[in-house]
Amino acid sequence: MLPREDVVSELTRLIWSTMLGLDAVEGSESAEAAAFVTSVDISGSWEGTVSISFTRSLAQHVTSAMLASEPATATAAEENDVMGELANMIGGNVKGLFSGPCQLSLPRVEPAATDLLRAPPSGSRSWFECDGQAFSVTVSERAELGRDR
Amino acid sequence: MKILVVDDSKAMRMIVTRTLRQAGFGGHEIVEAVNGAEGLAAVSKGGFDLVLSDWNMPEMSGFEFLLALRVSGSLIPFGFVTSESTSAMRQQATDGGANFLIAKPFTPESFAEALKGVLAIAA
Repeated sequence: MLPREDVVSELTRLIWSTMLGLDAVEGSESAEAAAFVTSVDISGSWEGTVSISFTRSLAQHVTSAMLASEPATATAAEENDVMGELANMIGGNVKGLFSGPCQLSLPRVEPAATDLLRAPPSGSRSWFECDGQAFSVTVSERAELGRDR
Repeated sequence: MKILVVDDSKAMRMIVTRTLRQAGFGGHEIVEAVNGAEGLAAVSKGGFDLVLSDWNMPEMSGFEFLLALRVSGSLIPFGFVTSESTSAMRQQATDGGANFLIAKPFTPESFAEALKGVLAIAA
């Protein structure tokens, strides 16, 4: 069973405000090309993936917010680190919504290939806006694996 | 006091250090390590008063790090700072010998509450 979308949205808003000092408000699907997708896998009593899409400018924005640095001065490694940590925090909190034992993978950051952004066959995607930049949080379930347990 | 901050994320090590300061625990010496193995090597050299460690890290997890410390006889105060904070994990942390667990996302207030009694508030 997928976690409720409103719970995932609330977690996202809380993490954005607490760790970045930024507002993530409800947004609509954006045609603006995402540059990166950062993901963590959950395995165990629930099997799935939590991922966040970022435009290039949002990646710079959240990095400067988290590191309290000047905008657009972060290195690619720092941007990957911050995006991965945001996925880790949302994923870790989503993992806590399931009662059975689960493991959380380390975060990974990938270029936003089309197949990563396609609507998941079994999942939900929530859109947000942060200072004019759209981003999405996707929770997808690996149903076949989950049914085997 | 000397505090070891262990996290594979450089950004998170920076934020933990900043939050310690915001919580009123500035003025302590901070040393960083990127995983449990590096943390264990640092603590073995002595001189630390507190460990703040992530749980999920490559090479050696925070929990493996904690167990290795306790097996070695170290009683150094140890707290997790982690995005995973189920009741089962909190129990596992306590059973392993951790003193507290701070859940991400955190605030200076959650640090102050967890560290109350562990560190003297810096003047």
